[in-house]
Amino acid sequence: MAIRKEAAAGKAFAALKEAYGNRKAVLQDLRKKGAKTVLVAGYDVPDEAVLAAGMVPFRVTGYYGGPRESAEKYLEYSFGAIWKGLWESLAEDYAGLADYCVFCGSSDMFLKLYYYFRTLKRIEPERKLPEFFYIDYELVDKKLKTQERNEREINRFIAQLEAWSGNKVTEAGLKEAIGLCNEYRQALRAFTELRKKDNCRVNGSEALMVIGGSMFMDRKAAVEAVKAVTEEAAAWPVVEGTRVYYAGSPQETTEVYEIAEASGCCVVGEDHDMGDRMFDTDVRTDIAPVSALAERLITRMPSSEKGSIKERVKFAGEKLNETQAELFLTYMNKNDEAYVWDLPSIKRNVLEPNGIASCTIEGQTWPLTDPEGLKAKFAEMAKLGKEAK
Amino acid sequence: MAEEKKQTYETRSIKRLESSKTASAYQKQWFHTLRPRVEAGEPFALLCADAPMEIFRAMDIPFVVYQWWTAICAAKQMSGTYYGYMKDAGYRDDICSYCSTIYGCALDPHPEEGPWGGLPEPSIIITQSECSVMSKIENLMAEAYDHAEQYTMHRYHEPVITENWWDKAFEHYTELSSPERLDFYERELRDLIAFLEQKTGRMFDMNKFREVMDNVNEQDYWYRKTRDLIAENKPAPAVISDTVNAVMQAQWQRGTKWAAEHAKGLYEEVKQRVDENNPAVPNERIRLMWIGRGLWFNLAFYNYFEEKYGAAFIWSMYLGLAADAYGRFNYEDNPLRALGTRFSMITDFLHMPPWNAEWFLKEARHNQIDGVVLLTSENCMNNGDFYYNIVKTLEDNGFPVCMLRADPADAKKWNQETMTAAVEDLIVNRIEPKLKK
Repeated sequence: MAIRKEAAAGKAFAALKEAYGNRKAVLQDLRKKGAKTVLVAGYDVPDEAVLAAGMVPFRVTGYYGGPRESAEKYLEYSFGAIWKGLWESLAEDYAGLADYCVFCGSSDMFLKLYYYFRTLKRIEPERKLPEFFYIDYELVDKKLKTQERNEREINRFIAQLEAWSGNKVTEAGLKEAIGLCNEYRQALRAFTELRKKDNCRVNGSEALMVIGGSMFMDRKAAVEAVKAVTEEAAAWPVVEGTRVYYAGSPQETTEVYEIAEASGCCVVGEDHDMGDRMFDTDVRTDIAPVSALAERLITRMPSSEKGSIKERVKFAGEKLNETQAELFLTYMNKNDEAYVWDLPSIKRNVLEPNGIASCTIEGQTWPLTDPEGLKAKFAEMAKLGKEAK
Repeated sequence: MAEEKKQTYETRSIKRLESSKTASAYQKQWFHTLRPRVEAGEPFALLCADAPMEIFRAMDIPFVVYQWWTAICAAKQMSGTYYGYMKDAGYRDDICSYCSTIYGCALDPHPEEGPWGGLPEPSIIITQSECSVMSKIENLMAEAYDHAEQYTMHRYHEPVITENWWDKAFEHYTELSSPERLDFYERELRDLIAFLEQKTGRMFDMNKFREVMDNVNEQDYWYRKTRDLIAENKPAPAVISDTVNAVMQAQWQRGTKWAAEHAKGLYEEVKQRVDENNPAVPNERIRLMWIGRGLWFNLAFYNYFEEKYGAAFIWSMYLGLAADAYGRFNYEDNPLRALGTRFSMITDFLHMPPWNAEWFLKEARHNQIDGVVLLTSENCMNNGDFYYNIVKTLEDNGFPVCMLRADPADAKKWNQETMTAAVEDLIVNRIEPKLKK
């Protein structure tokens, strides 16, 4: 199934696919145009603040162009595929293409990589590395002191952006950026309505491409492109296949989803930030902008890595109900396995009482060591999901 | 239930120091008094390794650091039993062993059969958001010990890099931290105290806390002197198969008068060995440094290379860090702020670049080290201290490094032959040729 010809034929989809597939070219183009670009390494960096500073946020994803030699040299084996890819992009592939990079603690590995890059800059000063900044949020505890800490951190980040850009970040500017980013998130949510059961027109691979492609576009252009592709998608054929909810390691390319969907599955939702989690909630517009940005951090869906087990159990029940998934997939890269500790509780409390099948795929790498084996597992999974139903 | 693999090699180390034996005996005895106290209704806390245990000491709340408990379980060759309980409950038994052993203990239907009469059921679990996996395991642990209340402390990273941190740690520790970080950790401590006061009905006594801080300073003063004796005497008067036990078990009692006196006793014993020209390894030719967690289930590994090669493991983080990182003076105005800099920075100094590599280098020089063995914990997902930088820093300065990948908590995965060969390779092919020059 993967990317269907009806989808590929659409003009808006083609534009999104182009951005998705040529991320580096987008960054190079920004450099050529003299845009002040901030590389974003973390899933909770407020793009709104970057935009309000007159700068361009650009999400850093992994390098998928070949062997990750630099990452293999500098990083320990405990870094999974996502983190090795990110290292390769920042240290090598994107070297010299941006002056600034911001990390935040969406994963422990972002903090670790921030420390590593900061040290790399000291020990190899000749490298063309950007200036690094770390936003030190608390993302788990829902308390007043969490809100206050996160507001302080956002204000600290804004001060840094002002220093980088030479522009003052005003309340009006922040409100405008929040409005734009909310519109973008709403457009994506409207698009993913087309993954719902009764009118499933978009498969997981197509969804990933649209969501991901829009991340690398100018934000206003992204809103228009997502709205346009939603119109196109309404006419795409209905998707068949076992409805799978995906939890686990972020998927920065469509490769794994494509294998799953060529094997009889359809990924109808996910908990990672290259998919649904990126746009699940808006930023409030009825309170001060910085407070609203901070509040969103702890009202988002619990991430598979950081969320407490209790929250993850609750969330799994809600998502399975919302997406009408027939199977719960936990997919983990090697050494990216925090999610494994959630699963028995999710099984006991959600999956088994509701007769929903589950499947766990562990120890995955990039490049995939055994795509054929994976295909067989997905085929088996598709069958399992239907049988459980 | 999983069965422990039968060992075909000696795992018990040679105990040369009385201090090592007295520490074990005291700890064991302390532990036997713990259960009746808990059963009589006293609070009992499980702490993660980086928790500010001085607060608990000052409030007389008994505690066990659960990663240290892992070490005890490993040393008693019981880890596999606990991983078996986890497997039976649907969890993986092959990852995050250093932190997950305690969850296996929580699932044990016969806890009294555990080491030293088993771990009593805690009423408080203190966790720290250092690693996502740890947090999840701690969630499960709190669920399994259903009478326990979980309290999470938070971390704040350090934006300022200070070189030679060990020069500032005692007297000028506030210069090692940004003002925001100092404020943050002081507040974390005050919040913790408020939680404990409410939970236990005990009031925190600042004067008692000062005594605890003084005792820690005294304890670590003796560790510095012991470390220096080992560092400066060739052959060394003690090796790590002695010091890891003597120090780690006494650190568990950090802040007590007993621990300070025990540290003094350790120093005096080591000094006596120096005075009597009684080295730990009389044929010492090679001095080795062990970076990483202790090999608790097989401390004899450190002794293996002594007779055959005259190679002595003389340095580990347990004594080194106790010597350089814990002491805090001039805290009269605000001892909580001083403690905040201690417990927030230990992780940085040991695990974060560039602090860790610079310190290892300083210690390698001071201890007249010939070669370094670096153990990376096989199945710890948070494992990663920028080993590239550690190895490069040490090797560029003339200290050859051998890296071992192993699980320090799970004996069944240890391959004695391969690990021995790797260290022998370091000795024979990298250190000895250098010494011959």
